[in-house]
Parts: sequence; structure tokens; C-alpha cells
Amino acid sequence: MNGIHDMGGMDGFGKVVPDQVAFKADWERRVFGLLSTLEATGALNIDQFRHGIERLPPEVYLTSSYFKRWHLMGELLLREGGYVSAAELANGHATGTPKPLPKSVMRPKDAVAANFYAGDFGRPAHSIATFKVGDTVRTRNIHPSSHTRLPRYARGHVGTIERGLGCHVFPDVNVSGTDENPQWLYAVAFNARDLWGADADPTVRVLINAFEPYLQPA
Amino acid sequence: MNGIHDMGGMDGFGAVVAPAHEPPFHDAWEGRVMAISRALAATGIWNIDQGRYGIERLPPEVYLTSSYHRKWHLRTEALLREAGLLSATELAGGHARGPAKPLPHPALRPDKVAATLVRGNYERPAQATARFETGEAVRTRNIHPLSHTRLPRYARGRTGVIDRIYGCHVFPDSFVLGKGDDPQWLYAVRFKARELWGADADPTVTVLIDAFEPYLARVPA
Repeated sequence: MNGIHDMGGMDGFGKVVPDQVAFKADWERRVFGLLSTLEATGALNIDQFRHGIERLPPEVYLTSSYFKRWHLMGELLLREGGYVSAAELANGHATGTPKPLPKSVMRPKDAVAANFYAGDFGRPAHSIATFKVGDTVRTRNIHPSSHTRLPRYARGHVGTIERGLGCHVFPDVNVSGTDENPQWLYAVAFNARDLWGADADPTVRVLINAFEPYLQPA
Repeated sequence: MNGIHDMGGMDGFGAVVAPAHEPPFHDAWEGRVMAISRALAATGIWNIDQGRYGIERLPPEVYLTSSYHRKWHLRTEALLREAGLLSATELAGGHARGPAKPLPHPALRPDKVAATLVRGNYERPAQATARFETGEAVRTRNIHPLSHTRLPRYARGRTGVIDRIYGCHVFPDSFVLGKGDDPQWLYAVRFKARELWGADADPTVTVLIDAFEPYLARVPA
């Protein structure tokens, strides 16, 4: 999806100011806990989370903090999944029988493993990698309406395989919630001038983690 | 500038809803904003492309949450401040605090208003012959200027065909920088949607873009 989240190569957003605080308010911590729990129940996966955030209205996306986006995405996905109704969200109480979850409810002892920042998305390979380090590749000009990890600015451009990163859950398919479809993952190096032409800094290189289906031999 | 205004090819904004009988102004202040903006443009403070670039430079979240004339209003404030014609204090207080700065042209008088309301003519005499002809294949350049340009992001580095030649016109990319009219040949260039967006695009769709000659390169035979 060519959504508002795909900001690479855009101007006008000002400088990135990193902040050092994990949670700025107690509700942010709770939002993180709630959504980590939800993932642990198998109701939703990380790529559905990400695509949920991408689908927030663009003006909401731009005016919401990081965890406000998580919160709004959580509400959206729970409604879409039939886990909660708009009426239940509005009045704060369940009004019907809960829909069964794919896996059991998360227990405190499972909480650390449920933190998806610690998640391992590596999977056994089912084929030989098509590309090797040093190969020249061209990214495909894809524009899926769903989730993808290939940014707009890096489509249809020539780069070099910098490193092989192993075989991983493929987000573009995993977002469907039905298939992990593991694919080879590479770090691909691009010269900034190949991405943005003569207006770019000639000394800059950009590394992008690209899945094999994004790439073709150049 | 690859700003928030360059929405072509983006998803997530929903359908464009064009009301059947939308009034030109939704409130009286919108009409005043338009009048103030025209009056200021008539004094030569800024030109059309500097005005457009002013809108593009609004903070992205402000751009997305402001109506059409609200954007004009905020742009006008920003350009007046940049030009030194208005201070933040004066804007906040609603009154001039110092002597007025002279304007490039005299202030707009009632008898000149009608002339500011007609669509401007930006066609200019040609300085050279047109480089491309109708039916010729061209490739757009992969340009990313920090300033105003009329070539959208989604149409850069793509191959199309010259559909029509419009003549020679003021070149916005130069005009915005105060480098004069710098007239350039203007073409309608036709692209297949699949050339722009690959196999995900509708194969029956073509896109026409008005492109100035400096945006275009010859396609090697």
C-alpha cells in the first residue's frame, strides 16, 4: 500500500528528533501490553498490525503519537476481526459472547516470549537462494494495495546484493493471516543517485532489506 | 519538493467526493482570503509558483487537515512573514506595528480588480525550436528538486509518448526561484498505467501529464 507511512524520499517533515522514553504515559504501556497479548493469542500477526497502522486515515496517522497509532490500529483490527463491536468500544463493556481465539489466552509466564520485538521470523529454507553477494539486481515496480516492505522510492531501481540475511516470514503474504510463505531476504545496497538522480548526495548509499520476490536480475 | 501535496499514486485517502452544487466559498472568510491573496499577488510580492510552493511547504499534518482556502490563508501568512511584510507579533495582535514596507507594484485599485480575476496567460514566445515531436517516445528524468516542480513523483524515470505540443510557457521550476519566466516547451505526455505502476496497475488505463521539456530525455533508439 502506497500509504502515508511510506515517507522515505519525501520532504517537508522536518528533522527526526529521537526521544529516549519508551512510554510517555501509562496508557501507552497498557496499549503495548494489550496488543502484545492479542498477538500471543494468534488472533493477529505483526504484519496485520503494521498494515492496520498503514490504513489509518492519513491525517490521523500524521497527528497521532506512536502508541496512539497502536491504540487506533488495535480498535480497528478488533472490530474487523469481529472480536469487539463499535457499541462495546463506546460503552466499555462486552455485550455478547466472546468470539473464540485461535490460541489460549496469554498467561503471565508467556509474557516475555510474547514481546514481538524479541520475535524470530527466520524459517527453514525450501529452496536455494537465487542471488549471491555482489549480484546486481533491479527491484520490481510493484504497487500492492496491501502490506509490503519495499518502499516506493526503491522500486524499479538497480542495486547490489550486500548480504544474505537468511529465509524469513514474507510480510506481503503473512499479512493475509493464512500463510507465512518464507522467502530469502537480502540487504541490497543502492547509490543515492540511482534512487533520486543528480539531486542526491553522491556520497550516500542506502541499504534496504528486500525479499527475493521484490528482486529480478539486472 | 516531494511534499505531501504530491499525492498521485498514493493509497488511503478514500474516494474524491465532488458535491454536485458546491459553492465557490463555504464561508465569507474564504472569499476574503481569496481576495487578499489576489490583491497581494497583484502587487508583485509573489508569483503563482511561489504561491503554490508556499502551500506545498505547509506542515504535512496541517496540509491534510485544512480546507482549500484554509491552505491559502496559511500560505499567505507564511509568505507575508517571509517577505518581511508582516511580523508574528502583528499577526497575533491584528494591527500594524511599524511603517509599511514598500511593495514592488502599487496597491491594487478597484478598477484593476477584474484583470486579476481572469486566468493568467503563461504562454511566451519560443526561444528555440521544440526538441520533441508528436508521437515520439520520451523518458522523464529522475529529478527530485527541493523546490517547486510540476513533475509528479510517480512519473519520474518513466517512458511515455508525446501526445501534443502546447507551445512555450513560463517554466514553474525556474519561476518559483525568481529566475524569470525561463520559457520552455510544454508537452502532453501519455503513459501506460503499467509503465508507471507495473503489473498491479489497470492495463486499460493511460495517464496524460503536462511535462516541460527539461523534464524529458530522448529514449535511445
